[in-house]
Amino acid sequence: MDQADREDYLEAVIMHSAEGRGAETLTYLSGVIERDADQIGADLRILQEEGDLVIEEDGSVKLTDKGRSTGESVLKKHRILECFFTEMLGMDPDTASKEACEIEHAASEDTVEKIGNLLSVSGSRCRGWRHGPGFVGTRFSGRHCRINVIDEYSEGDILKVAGMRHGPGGERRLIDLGIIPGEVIRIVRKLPGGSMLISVKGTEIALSREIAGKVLVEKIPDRDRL
Amino acid sequence: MKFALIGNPNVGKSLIFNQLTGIGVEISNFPGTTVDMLSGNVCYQRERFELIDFPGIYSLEGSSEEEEQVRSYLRTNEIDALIVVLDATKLERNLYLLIQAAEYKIPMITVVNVADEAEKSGIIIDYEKLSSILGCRVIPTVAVEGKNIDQIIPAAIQDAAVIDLKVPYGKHIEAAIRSLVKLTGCNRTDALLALQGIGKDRELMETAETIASEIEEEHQMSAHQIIATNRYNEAGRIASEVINKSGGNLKRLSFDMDSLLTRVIPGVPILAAVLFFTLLAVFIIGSFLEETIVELFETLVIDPMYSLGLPPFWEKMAFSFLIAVEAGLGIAFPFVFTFYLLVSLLEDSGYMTRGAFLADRAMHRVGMHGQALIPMILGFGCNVPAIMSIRQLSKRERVIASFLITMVPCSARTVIIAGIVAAFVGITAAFSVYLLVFVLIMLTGLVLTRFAPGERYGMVLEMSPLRRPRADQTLKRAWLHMKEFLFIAMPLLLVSSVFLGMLDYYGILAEFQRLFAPFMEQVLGLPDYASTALIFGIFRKEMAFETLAVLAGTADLGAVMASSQLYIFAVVSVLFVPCVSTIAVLYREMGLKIAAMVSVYTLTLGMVFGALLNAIFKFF
Repeated sequence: MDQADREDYLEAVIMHSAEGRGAETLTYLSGVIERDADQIGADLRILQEEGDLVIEEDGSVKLTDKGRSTGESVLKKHRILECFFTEMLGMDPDTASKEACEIEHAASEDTVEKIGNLLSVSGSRCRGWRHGPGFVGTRFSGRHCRINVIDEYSEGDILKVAGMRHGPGGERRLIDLGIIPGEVIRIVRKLPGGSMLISVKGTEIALSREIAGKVLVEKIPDRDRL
Repeated sequence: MKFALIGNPNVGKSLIFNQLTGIGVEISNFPGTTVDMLSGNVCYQRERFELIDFPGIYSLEGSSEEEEQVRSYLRTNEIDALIVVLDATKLERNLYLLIQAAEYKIPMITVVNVADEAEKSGIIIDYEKLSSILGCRVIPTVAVEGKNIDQIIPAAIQDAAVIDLKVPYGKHIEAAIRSLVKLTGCNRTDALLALQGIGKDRELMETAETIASEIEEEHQMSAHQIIATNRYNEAGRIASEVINKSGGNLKRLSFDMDSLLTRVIPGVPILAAVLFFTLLAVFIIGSFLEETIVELFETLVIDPMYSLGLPPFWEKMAFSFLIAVEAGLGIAFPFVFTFYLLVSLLEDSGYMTRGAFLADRAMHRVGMHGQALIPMILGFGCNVPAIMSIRQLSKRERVIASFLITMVPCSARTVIIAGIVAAFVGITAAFSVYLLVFVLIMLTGLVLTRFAPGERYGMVLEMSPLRRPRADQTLKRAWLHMKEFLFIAMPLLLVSSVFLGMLDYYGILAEFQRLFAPFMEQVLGLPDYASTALIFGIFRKEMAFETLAVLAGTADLGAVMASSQLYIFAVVSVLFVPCVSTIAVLYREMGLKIAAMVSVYTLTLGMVFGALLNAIFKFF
């Protein structure tokens, strides 16, 4: 069994809470991994030999520390990558998940960690991977979250800065001009091309579209706040 | 003793510097016009003090050239008192810079400028309270009226104090600072900078990076963001404690105007009209003044020189020198000064930043953004100051701007278009030359956006408040633009003109002319002497026209050359190779490679279009 398969198994065991399922372990796993039960049984025994898990008498599997940490690490990579693909690159969730399944084995933890940092600084909407291995289920906090980039709003909107996406240059200047998390700003003018004038800390600042696309904001419905 | 003025762009810092030192310095209403640090002397009670004017900056921790310049100056030089100039109408944002400056532990005093405007818009500041919170002297001023300016120097001498503001950065940042100080032996300021990725010490930077990324992971915010947010919170706290907003919030003039100026309709038509009429005015006023000045110069200076009966070599040298002076005066004053006067008016009124905002999208098409509009417009006066003003752009934009600005028809090229095409071919033909040049500029921009190296960057530009321009300030600013032209372009003009005179005297030019004659006649369809005229044009654009007239033996060019020839000549000399002064400035600002690339590109462009036009004219 190659490394990728091994990682897939460990990941699946954690992700689908397959531990302690007794006799139904194999049927359960064959439901979430696209292989037949015999094959899975044989693979699990190999994993046991390698010291990743222990197969108990009732048929349950129990991960060893080594197996758990490998599995958790792969799962974390998977979630970060998937989040990166959907959030930053705009891929559809299905493809994103499939791609993540492939890349999670090849990419180093360090690299994926850096992508994760990028996501968190940019105020990414999906935080699923941050909840740790205990978190299972929907990986995205979903569309109901009102955080958006500023250029999705229109003239006259009063907004609260939520964060800043990383990108080439510019963000430092924006921060120095007072566009900091929590700051309330107003879109004074928005041109058809996407350039906008925003009012912040008593001054008006002109932003190009790509710069405006870095500022993440939350809409404040209460118009009296400025 | 040495004092330094520090503050945001547009707080009136330069104006204060002027009043204190009496030196004419630009009062910038456009962020970043005073890139170079200025230094002057102040006398107080028979003692001399040095006063430095830093470029206007928003932060001491940014990565722009100005910010780096000020930061490194503060860290390496002994300054006896830092005079922090704040804008009363934007107190919170200005306090942010003050809080940063306070980290440097330099004795300081605070000047709160435009106190009158703040009061008018209902912002009442309790200066005494501000003084007690900051722990330093606070002087409210109105720089345009000179109010309280006389208190600044005595206060800097007597009352400057190190401000001990404790900004609560949060326990993580504080812990990081402590461990950095302990691990590397740096001071607090260095540690704070290092956490934000600024510094040169490798060991410190590496340690700081590790800690900073841990902090980032923990807070989901970069160390810089956390530090900046805490500083802003502090600034906001101080501002809210000292500001009493009285209810009488007077509507500012800029409010209503802006709704006209910053919308596509009518903003863009207004911008187009403003630019068009500026150029038209320069064209008309410039031509009128030029004729008068040149005539006067001929009768009063050049003719008397000839009557001296100097030996031939010296006569040639003197003529070359004087003709350069004449051209300088004939072009510089009429065209360049008129142009800069109008542009300064646009800058001072605050309109320029609105224009930049509106032009942002269009400028994106050619690989730049709104902020590059001003250098491009300056290029219509003279390319030299225009290229000097691109420093505030990013590396990539500077490369693109270098190409595009050198193609902008400057006033010297306007003289060619006016003198050759408009006069002998027709006004429509003259406009078609402009049109051709503009189309080529756009095409060049479109191509360069694809190939220019470096990251794409966008506009982040603070709008200057709309103000009624003041005559003295506008004149002073125009004069400063002029000074760049006079002291950088003019000397080069003089030297190259004398050099050219020498080439001519020793017959080298004639040799050149013979060599290029076949090319001129066959490819461009121009008389052989046109090559000499074009070479003169490299030294000074408008000399292409003057030399042509001299070599043709008549000022009535229409009599010796066909319309098509005149048109081709004008197009080639307008397009090809920037003048020596421009090349020299390109070399200084951008390096040899870019200067050479721009020269070769424009040379090729001129020749190709000359040949193309010749082929087209022959065909019809």
